[in-house]
Amino acid sequence: MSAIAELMSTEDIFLDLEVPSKSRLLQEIARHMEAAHGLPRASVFQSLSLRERLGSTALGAGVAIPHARIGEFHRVRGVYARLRRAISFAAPDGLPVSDVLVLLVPQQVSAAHFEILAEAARMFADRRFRQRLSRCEAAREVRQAFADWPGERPGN
Amino acid sequence: MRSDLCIGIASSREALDIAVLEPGKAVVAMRFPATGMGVEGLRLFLSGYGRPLRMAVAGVAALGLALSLGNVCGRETFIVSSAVASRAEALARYAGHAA
Repeated sequence: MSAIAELMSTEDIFLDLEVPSKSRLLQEIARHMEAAHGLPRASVFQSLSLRERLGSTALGAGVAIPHARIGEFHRVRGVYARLRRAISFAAPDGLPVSDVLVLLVPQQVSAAHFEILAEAARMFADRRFRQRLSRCEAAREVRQAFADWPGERPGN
Repeated sequence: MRSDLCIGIASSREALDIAVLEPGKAVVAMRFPATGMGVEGLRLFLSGYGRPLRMAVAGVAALGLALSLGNVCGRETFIVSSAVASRAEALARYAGHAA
């Protein structure tokens, strides 16, 4: 199972999320992290927003990986959202974003945290993986897609 | 060797092999696909290190990679001939010793 699949439960996966902007997306993520995992909403939103101000976390091809260090955290957590309508994210290819994987890591960064970020980048660079995600109709299917990667031969 | 964080990037047609060398720690190695998204993922990865770093790049499209990833305040970038060092860990060590 990929490391990223282990960071999310099905309650951390949102399909057809409706948000009008990047800021509202981050607010929704922060709201979820408070409701599901007891993290302070303001801290999560501010940390994610600050990271975006340093530079967009969009990778291109409609994908973004917002991430931030959260002082109140002791383990890495992930949230996946597929947006009903793609939103502007200042992506390098100019395309709007509809696949969002949010990674929240503890303040004390370790090599494992960077490996998770690297795995996320490799995963979404795999066109077949992105196609499989787009076909998922339920949160458990999404989690299985993450868990199975790179079971299928990666390709672009 | 200096105390800066040192990163080696060995670029081939298929992949970007990365090695991260921090004083007193084991080398961290990982691989990104040699695609536009892979480069952007690498950029995200490098941006997570909030401290000055030295980076050595060799291989396919090394110049373009160096220009794309190295133009950041606090980051020293070296373009290295593959004849000098071709593997990511060796490049990271090169970055640590380069003047």
